[in-house]
Amino acid sequence: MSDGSVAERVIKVFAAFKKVEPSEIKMETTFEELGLDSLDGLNLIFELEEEFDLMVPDDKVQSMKSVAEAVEGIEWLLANPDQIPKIPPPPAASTK
Amino acid sequence: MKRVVITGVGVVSPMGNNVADFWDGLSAGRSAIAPIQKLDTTTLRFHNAAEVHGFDPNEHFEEKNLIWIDPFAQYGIVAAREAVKDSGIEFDEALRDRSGVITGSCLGGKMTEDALYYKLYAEGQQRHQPIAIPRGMSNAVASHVSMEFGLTGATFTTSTACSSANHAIGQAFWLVRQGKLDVALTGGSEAPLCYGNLKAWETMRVVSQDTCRPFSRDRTGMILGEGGAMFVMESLDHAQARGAKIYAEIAGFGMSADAHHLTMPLATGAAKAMRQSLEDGGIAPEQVGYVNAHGTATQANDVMESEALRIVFGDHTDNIAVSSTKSMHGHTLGAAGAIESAATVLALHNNVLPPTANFTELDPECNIDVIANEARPAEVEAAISNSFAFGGLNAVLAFKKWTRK
Repeated sequence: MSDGSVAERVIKVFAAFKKVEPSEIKMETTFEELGLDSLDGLNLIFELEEEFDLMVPDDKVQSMKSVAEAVEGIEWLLANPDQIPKIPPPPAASTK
Repeated sequence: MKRVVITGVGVVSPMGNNVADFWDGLSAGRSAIAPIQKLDTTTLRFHNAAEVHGFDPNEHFEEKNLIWIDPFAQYGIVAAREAVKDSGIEFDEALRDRSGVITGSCLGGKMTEDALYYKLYAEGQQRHQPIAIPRGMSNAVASHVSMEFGLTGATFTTSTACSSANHAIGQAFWLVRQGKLDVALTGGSEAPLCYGNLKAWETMRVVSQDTCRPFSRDRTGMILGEGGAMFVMESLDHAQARGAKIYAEIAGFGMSADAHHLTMPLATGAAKAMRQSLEDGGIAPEQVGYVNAHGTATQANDVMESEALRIVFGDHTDNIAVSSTKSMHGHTLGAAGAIESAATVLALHNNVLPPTANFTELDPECNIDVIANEARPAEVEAAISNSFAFGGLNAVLAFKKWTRK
């Protein structure tokens, strides 16, 4: 776990993703304002999953369209760990 | 240029492993979407798909041959055999020289590769059976079918994601129309239900956790499916000379690129391919009475496709019945164009338009006439079958009802 509040860590991920200074990322900034299309947005969610070591359910992704919404979503998941899909080891491959 | 007709159909699908069962399911509006049984989906965010059931490879292949044939190729080969048998065609030496096999597949032998990589990376196994390359190649169906029937004309495979089979069938059509081939066995097949590929689809966040509801307001995304369909396609001259039964005429093919975005489709690109299929076939927009839509049930596709239909057909769109049979057999990726062409050809032949299953309420952003849940008896003059791939590659086939002339 890195230091800092959820908001600081989310902003850090956004800044690294956009290759800009964290000070340029505001809470109210939307994905669209950052020039992120839907595919970029999915990739950014993946970076957040990596940072917080969790998996974001599909329906949560729909409601993450700005920095503030991403922070809200991550905070909700951290407060409701039972809502995060578990990550057990993969099943054996099918061979037939 | 020659006229080209469909004289044989073969299908392996989630609704059944022959044309009769496939059509029974389609015309009854029976969705084959159900919880995945092939593998454990505990670690996936979605659990439903349209699987092929009751397909025992040992009934169709000798054991010594089977080790060389991935499930995707099994589906394609079995469908090709049914199509050939159905058509009554007999290949003599001269005809073999003038016949080819043109297939589509997006993933090829992904199940074989997935199993190999699991043994390699997860289990650290260093020695492997020498089967992955011949099983894995996307052209396996074209190669096996050409060998089985001894066909030595133009034979190849197209791979354009979800448009693969439509591109293949379109190429076959043009080759027969130009007189380069007298007969083409053409179609596509796919077996995408292995863990690695399902995980890859999970990351795209477009797969529904429920079911596939194309054009419905409450749709939640696509559902993957597996299977294959193959056709015997031949010049009208050749078909009539041997007294073949004719299912439908394939009249036009159009293709285009959006040149826009990897995953966000563009209505003008889809419209261009549709319009070109009509122009290629000398079909007036007003002649079209049925569209077998790409209709994936993703948010993006269904709105885009409805807009594209308006661009091409204008006010006549109101008179066109539209369905997405993916609501029943799932999105079979590189096989989609083949399975949906089978649905379109059978619809023209049987005068019954298959419905969109699982339909609830029309999305107001989709201003089209969706055939909801129940098949619609109708004789239509012409129909098109749409395929639009990730990467913005569009391919549309135009068919005409065959009336004895």
